[in-house]
Amino acid sequence: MIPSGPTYSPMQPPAAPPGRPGQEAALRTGNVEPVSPLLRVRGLHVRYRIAGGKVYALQGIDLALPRGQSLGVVGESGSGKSTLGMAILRLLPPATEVEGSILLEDDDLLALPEAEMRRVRWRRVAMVFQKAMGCLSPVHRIGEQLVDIVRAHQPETTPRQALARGEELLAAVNLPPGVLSAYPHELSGGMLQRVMIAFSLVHNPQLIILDEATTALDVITQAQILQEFSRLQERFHLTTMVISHDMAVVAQLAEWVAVLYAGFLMESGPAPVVLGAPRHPYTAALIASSPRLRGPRTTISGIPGSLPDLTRPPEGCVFAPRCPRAAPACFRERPPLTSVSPHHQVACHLVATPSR
Amino acid sequence: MSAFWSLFRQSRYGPWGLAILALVVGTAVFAPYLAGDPFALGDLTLAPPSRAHLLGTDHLGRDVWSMTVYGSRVSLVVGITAALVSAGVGIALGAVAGYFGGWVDEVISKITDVFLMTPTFFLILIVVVMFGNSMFYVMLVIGLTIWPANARLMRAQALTLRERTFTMAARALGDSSWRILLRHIIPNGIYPVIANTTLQMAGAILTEAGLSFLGLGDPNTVSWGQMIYTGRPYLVTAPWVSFFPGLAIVITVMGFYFLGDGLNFALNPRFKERQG
Amino acid sequence: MRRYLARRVFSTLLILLIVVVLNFLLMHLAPGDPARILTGLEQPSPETLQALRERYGLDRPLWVQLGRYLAQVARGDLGRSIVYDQPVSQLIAERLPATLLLTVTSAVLAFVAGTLAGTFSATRYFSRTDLFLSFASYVLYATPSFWLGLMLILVFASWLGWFPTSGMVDPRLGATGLARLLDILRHLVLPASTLALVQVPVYYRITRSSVVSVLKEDFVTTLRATGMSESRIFRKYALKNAILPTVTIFGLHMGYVVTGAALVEIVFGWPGMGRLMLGAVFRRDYPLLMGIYLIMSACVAAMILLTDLLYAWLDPRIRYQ
Repeated sequence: MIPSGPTYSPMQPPAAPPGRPGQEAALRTGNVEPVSPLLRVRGLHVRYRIAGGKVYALQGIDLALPRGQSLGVVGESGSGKSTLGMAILRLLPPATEVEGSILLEDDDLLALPEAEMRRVRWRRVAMVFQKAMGCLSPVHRIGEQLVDIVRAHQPETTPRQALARGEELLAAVNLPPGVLSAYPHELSGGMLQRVMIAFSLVHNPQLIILDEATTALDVITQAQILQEFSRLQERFHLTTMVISHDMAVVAQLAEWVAVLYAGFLMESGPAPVVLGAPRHPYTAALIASSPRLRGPRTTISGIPGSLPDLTRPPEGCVFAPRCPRAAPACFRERPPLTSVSPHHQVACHLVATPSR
Repeated sequence: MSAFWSLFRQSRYGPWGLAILALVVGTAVFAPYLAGDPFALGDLTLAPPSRAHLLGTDHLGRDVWSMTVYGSRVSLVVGITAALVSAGVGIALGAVAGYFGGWVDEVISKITDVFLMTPTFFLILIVVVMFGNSMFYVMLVIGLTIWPANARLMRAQALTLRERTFTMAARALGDSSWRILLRHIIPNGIYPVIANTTLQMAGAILTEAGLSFLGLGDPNTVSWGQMIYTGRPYLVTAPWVSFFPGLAIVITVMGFYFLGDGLNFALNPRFKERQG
Repeated sequence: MRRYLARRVFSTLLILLIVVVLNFLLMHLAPGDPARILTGLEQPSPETLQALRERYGLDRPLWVQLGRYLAQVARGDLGRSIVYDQPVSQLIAERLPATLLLTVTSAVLAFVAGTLAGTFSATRYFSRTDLFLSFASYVLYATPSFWLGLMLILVFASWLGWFPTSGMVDPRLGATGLARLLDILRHLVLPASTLALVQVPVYYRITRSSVVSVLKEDFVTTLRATGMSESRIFRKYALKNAILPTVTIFGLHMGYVVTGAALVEIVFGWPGMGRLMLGAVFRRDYPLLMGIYLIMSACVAAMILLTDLLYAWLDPRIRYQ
């Protein structure tokens, strides 16, 4: 299945992101131990309960995100990537089964009582959602909602102080202070998205999650927003998780990439490696199916077949039915996540290289 | 068809509605076997419910049970016919307004607004007073005042269906507008109107009861509203005369509401969440 | 906003104009001679008929008559009642306050009770309380207002003796000032409760489904993600969004309320338009009947206009259409 949405953009093809000084070289050779991870996800399982069964949205996800860096989570619809974001913030529907641990520094977010989790939300982990138009109440002014957002964690802030902070943040995303007295429907999609990005920074969170934040925008606006966000990343030393189906978006923002398919982690590692020289057949197929604006003309290939039924987890590798290189063992046994090189892991039987 | 039926059965109230209405319709149809002559005057006036008179008698000695049973005929006939008239007119005008647009739409919409925004009961009163209060007129007048709700629903459907590919294809193939209306727009857009029609049947029954209560019903028939009216002077001494016909109205109207809910559920899956 | 207001006012006036024309047409469409209808007599004398024809210009072409009628109505002259031999507008003006008192009180009561119950139900969706309330709303919505009034009189006025059975004041008391006000209130309880009870289901159902669907909206998720307290999200943001459909319904529903009010007034002997209308119906007093219809339409149209404006104030998206 070819990932939907604009899959090419007036940007470079997947390559080393404009990285943080000093880390680029280290990442390419894989010779550096990342600083202690800000976020560590271990064995995360998420199952939605529906009438007549369960939807296995995430199956045993392991991730690590070092401080000050950014992790891109790539996958098609149904891969579970949005579930991952919602799981971190614990915003999943009440009847959902969640197993595993999500460690933010030393706190397991899944084990926190609700009252404490409320204090984590936005203050330590913030999220920029996809459809910005629906993100705020349509019948309240933007500034009014900002005041409440600020006071959710700093109740002694006066409205004037909150609005002043709002103007600061809006300036950082190139928006005029007049935006605060507007209603959401009066702004364009791109402007609203910037507003949401600005709002996500209001408490100086440790982690920001972008969940398909640019998917609903046209290509030009998307490029602008991504550039601005990239600058923000540098300026505020943000730690971010970028969730997207669009590899180009991930390529521009992330140093690390994790590839999800049907709830399983297929491959994860440094972005230039995973995107430039993927080891997993699914990652390779994904990359092959996105057209390039520049470079020699290639034949775009899709991935034959369709998404598996998420209510019936398979015996073997979940990608096997669509994999061009599937072997009989792939259908029998689920491939474990093995290290191909430090920090580069692949879940595929055909990748036999032992870890060094 | 069977998919519709199974969905209907799953709705919370649908099957109950069907059961209640079956009961009421059965009562109306088999009235002669279930009750005596509702017009028969008797000596035993204002008698409380007893074995001889299940629901008591009124001030003329008439058997309340018989009157209630036969009253179902008037209510059902008026309710169903009025709603069908309304559906016919509403679908036609709504489809035309939505499909053709322009000034046709403007005119029809303004007329629709008049009926939707003014208290049409008074209008019905005036017309019935002027033209006569036979059951026929009552049905017709009610039907001709409540069609705007259906017209609005149909118009909204027509507006959306107008832009659909199959409509454009039909136009490209040279189908005349009327043909498109009859073969494509109306059959596809009719579902909300069907569910609304059961609601209108309920409303028409209540309206007819109101008219009869005011003495404007057909004097040759027995009607629940009329019974409530005759029972009013004796409310304290013989409450059963007014009580039971009112109860009958409540049960019958609820039957239509439940049926409507079930239809809504089966025809429009979006409504699944609003059950209860 | 101003342009929206102007458009709505224009639309309302247009509708009232159509109502007036409709009134006029009815009078002329009725079987029989309009002059004879106006006399209200079975066998009027030819002199009476001729006098009426001249007076009302019934021998002129139809459109001239329409023009005269329109001018008449614009002046506030709604004709003369056959039965009471008084100007229709005067008769209506005498009775209108009582009707407004009953209608407005019950509408407000129903709105408050219905939206509270609907919100309560929505937060306990599919619980037993919710299902019970929902069923009760069906029952109430199926209940004829006049029958409910009679039953309430039976129970509360007759059996329990808590409230008077009819009227607006107790003539024997001859109370004034505060005592009179209390007397009126005592008489108001049952009719207002009756009328409110039959309206509650509408507000209940709309509010309930509206709150449920608002709670599923994206912005609620976003606000939750910001760590805002659930009660703030609910009370400030969800409710304001959820109240919008209810406000719309409040206006549109007025037509039915006015109808129900007339029937309830008759049952309770409330000295409002209902009784006036009943007399007009029995005596075939057409000018009075049509005047009542016109005034009631104007009241309803005004209510709808007001609620539309209220809605535009609440929902900024509407103002810019």
